[in-house]
Amino acid sequence: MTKFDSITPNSYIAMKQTLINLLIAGGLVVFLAGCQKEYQPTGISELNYDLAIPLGHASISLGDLLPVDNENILVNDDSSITFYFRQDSLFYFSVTDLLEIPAQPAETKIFKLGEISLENFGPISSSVTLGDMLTQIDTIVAQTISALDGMNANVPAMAAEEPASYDFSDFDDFEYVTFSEGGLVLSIFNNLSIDFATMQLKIQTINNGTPIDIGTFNIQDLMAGEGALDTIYLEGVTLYNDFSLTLEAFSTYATSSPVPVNLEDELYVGISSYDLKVIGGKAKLPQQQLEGLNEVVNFDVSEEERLTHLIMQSGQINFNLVSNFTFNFDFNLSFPTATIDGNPLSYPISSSGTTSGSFDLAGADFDFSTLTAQPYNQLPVAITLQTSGAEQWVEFDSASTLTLSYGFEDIMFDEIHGWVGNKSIELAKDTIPFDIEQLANMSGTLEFADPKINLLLKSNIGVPVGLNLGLVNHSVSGSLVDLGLSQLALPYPTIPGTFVEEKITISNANSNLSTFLSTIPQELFIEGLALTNPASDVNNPDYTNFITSDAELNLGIEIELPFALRMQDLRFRDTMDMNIESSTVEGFESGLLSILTANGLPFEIDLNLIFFDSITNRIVDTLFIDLINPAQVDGNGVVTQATEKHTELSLTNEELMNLSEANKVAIDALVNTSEGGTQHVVFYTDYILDIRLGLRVNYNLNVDNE
Amino acid sequence: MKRNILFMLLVGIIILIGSPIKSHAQGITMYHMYNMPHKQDFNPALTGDFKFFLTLPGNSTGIGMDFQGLKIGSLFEDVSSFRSSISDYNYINLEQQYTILTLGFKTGKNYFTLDAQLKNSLHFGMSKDFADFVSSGNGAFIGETADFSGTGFSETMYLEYSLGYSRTFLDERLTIGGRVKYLNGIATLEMSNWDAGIYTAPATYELDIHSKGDLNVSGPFDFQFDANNNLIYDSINVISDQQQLLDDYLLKNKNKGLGVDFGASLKLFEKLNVSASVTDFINTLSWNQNVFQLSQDASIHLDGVDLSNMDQSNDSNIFEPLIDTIASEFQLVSSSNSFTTKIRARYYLGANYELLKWLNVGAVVSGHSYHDKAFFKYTLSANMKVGSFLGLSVSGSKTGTGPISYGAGISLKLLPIQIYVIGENLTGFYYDPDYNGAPMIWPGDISHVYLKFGVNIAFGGKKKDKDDEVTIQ
Repeated sequence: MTKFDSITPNSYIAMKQTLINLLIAGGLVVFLAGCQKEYQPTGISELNYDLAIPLGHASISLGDLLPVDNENILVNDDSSITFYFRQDSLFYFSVTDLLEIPAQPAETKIFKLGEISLENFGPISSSVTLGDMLTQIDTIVAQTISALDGMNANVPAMAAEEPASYDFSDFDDFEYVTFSEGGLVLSIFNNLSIDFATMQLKIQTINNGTPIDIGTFNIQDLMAGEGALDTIYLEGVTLYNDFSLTLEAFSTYATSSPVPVNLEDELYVGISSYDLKVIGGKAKLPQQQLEGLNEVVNFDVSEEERLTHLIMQSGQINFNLVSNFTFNFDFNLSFPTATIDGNPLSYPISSSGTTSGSFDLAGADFDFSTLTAQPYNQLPVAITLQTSGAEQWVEFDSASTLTLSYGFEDIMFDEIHGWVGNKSIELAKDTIPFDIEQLANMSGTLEFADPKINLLLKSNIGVPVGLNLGLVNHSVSGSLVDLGLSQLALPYPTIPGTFVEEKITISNANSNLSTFLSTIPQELFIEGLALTNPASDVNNPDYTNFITSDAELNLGIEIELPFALRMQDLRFRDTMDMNIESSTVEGFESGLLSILTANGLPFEIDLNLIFFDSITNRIVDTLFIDLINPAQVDGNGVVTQATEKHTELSLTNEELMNLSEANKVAIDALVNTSEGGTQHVVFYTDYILDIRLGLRVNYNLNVDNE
Repeated sequence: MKRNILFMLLVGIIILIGSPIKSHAQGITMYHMYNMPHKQDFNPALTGDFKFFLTLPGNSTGIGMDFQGLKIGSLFEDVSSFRSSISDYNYINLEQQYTILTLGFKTGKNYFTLDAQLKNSLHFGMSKDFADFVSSGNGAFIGETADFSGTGFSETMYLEYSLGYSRTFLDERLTIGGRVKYLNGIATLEMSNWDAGIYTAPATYELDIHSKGDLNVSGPFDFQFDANNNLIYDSINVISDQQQLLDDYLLKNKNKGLGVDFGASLKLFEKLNVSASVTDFINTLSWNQNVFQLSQDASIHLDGVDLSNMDQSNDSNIFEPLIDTIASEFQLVSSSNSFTTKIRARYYLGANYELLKWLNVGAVVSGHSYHDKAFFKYTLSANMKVGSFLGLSVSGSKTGTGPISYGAGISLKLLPIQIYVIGENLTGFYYDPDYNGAPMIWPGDISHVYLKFGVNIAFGGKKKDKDDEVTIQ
């Protein structure tokens, strides 16, 4: 019997019904349960992701960082870098800044005619025959002697009872002249056969029929066949071209023996002249040199220049002659120490009266140094004057004058030599502002190891020039840093027409250039002053200066800054806007920026980020990032090995939310080269900074909101 | 008309790719259910409820899905629980069964079945690292490789024509049955041998991604390839020509296969019955039509955006080189060879004890292998009947890692018309009538869900015994 045997049919049926009911009810409950269940899913709204992703990478060579197409950045063959700047003309001055030949004052010279030479005239002559003489003596005696004509006979003594005049032969040397010097020589020759015991002669010059006595001559014992001479000085005497002889008296000795008697035998009287100089009159002037001029004129300069030599490029001598000479004359203006085309510089003027004109001086070569006492600025001048051409029949007066005015005008020199003096030429004075905002936000030291500034000189000025170049760095901190450059002696040519082209280097050797460049400038004050002949002065001049008409001095500038430098505590500051919405970061539980660098650059960078609210000036957070460490360098500052660094920048959700309250971030970047910025390092374009950025975020993904 | 119907059917099926589909091998609740001719799906020897039954086209549909190693519902409730549920092997199976025609009849000791079904099986497997990576990111893998091997996707749609036969022996105490299947593939997409992973480097978080595997595709698709035999993604088209679809994919095509089910049932004692079966044994499909075998063997190192070129790029295109690199590296290369897919075999071992003539309790152990690892489901059920009018079953199933899955089934038969509904673990779904202003159904903490319903024409059931009488109050 089983345990079921005790179950009655009714209870069995009831049990089956109960079981069926339970099964049905349970089945339906299982089947249907849950299909109407209230359910509020929550977990999906907080789906949390921990994601680590590579943000990016960069392998940046230093060459990549250089600005493209910047002509000031040069990459050398060894891939080193040089900052190069060139300005062809920083300072410039030319001949007009150095020397100006002033207009020379006109010279006026007055030439007085004075005494002029007159050719000796004569001899002119007159003769008195025996027969003429008989007319002056007693008639009887005269008849006796007349009867002896042609015979050898004793001639009785004769004595003139009255004078008789006789003409001299004609001449046309002058019409009248007044002598200042010279004389007449009277010569008497007895061609008679009788001897004169006494004789008195008178010479007269005839002015329009009026005789004017010149002189009376008394002669004793003039034997037959003999002569006699006498002289008349003419100073102050005016002679006319008509002379007469008056035989005032005479007496003869009776012959002691018969002598040939010829009534045509003459007594000869002649007049000749010597050393004649006249001061007026009307005469036939022979060609002759008049009184000229030899002098030295001062060649004016504008300042204290001392010119020893001048070659004219252009210019002229203007002259004006005012003459009251009555004759034609030849005038010659010459400069004995000057030549033109190898020939003496001489300008002839032929004129008969007032005239003016000019002479071209192009190519003239003046030597101002021939005077020992003053071997500069002295110009010898020679002026000669002569009557021109053949004899001129003119009336003249020694008091007449000729006035010469001459002067140099429009002088343009081609070349001058000498000493141009101590001049100061202001080349430039300027202020160069650096309106670069970034510079204002920079501080610290940036020092180049071997900076060079080359001044590019091109000059054909043969003058020593000392250049005082003033450069003052007005730094962003307000300090003034002077370049401290001592006076530069600019090279100059020693041969006219040649240029010197040289680089004058400004370096640490002659200035404090590194210090000057290491200071961040706000503005630069620049001035230049050129001093000529800094080593000589007026008491000790150096006459080797020369300047040509195209003289110029151009000073360019070439800045060469090899990128071998050190940066110490070099700070770059900047402030940037930022806007991080809190809704953006609220899902982030945390964030971690992983920065892995292999730095081949020889400097380190530290970043300090200050997040603040610019309205309340409240600093909401700060962040310091030791970004990169400097690469290892050798003693020459050349990178030998990159430095690896792993930096993690972790931000919690709270910090991220803080950042959302900031609207500004102040960035303070601190840069130091190796060894804390104490070592100079060399930059090459093939230095590489390899940087890899990874981001790990723990983010709550709000699917509902998504 | 016929063509249009077939075309619409095919398009619908294609659209259903990726939809939740019940495995034909699921619905284990009905394994010992009374008056349920479809339990023969699990074991060809489980016949005999009706002398004849017929399921007309469209009158039986089953959908279901399985989760292995994942508590999908906890994703929406407790993420940490979801993450902790991730095991070494994780997959989601979505399967669908659509009956075109099924009939069975009994002659003497013999029982014959003829069956035509459209089946779709979708499988998405995930390695633990893959699931962790997708659900939590790669933060846990820094300095390590997240191994995605074992992750894969496959979907196969095919028509299954089967002829079943069973016979009783030993005075009907033993039934042995078998079924021969002819398979006609419609479409498949199967990843195989996929070896992939992502290594996350420490410090930089740079990613080394490798991916090597094959993708077998066959179906009404048209792919184009470039000169290097690389797939042109933009060229993928679904063949829309109706005639071609009918001719090549529904009525006749070259994708063929065979399969075998066999099983036995033995009444050990008066009230104890045991059964065992293997379904889809050696089921293979050879795909020969519109075949594309795509393979990939690529690796890439992702180190982020090349910041060196930032100054030459604008915001819109700085990622282009990265995208181009990925696209060029992860090309799919074609080698158009025929291939074979297998349909995973399942194993069932059951026993039931008849408490009463109308009530039994049963136990089933079902299993399959995945990645050379066996997965089992243990099911207990109680089943009752009221003649052939009513059949009721309740069940509880448990997998290795999942929660207990409850199921219930009911069949009602009025005259020759039988309707039935089988549901398993439907309570795993939660209905929220007002989620952000709209109704929403959330998946619960389930590892399995199943729904099967249908209408049969059946007659010839066992006559009601007196002992079977029950009164339903």
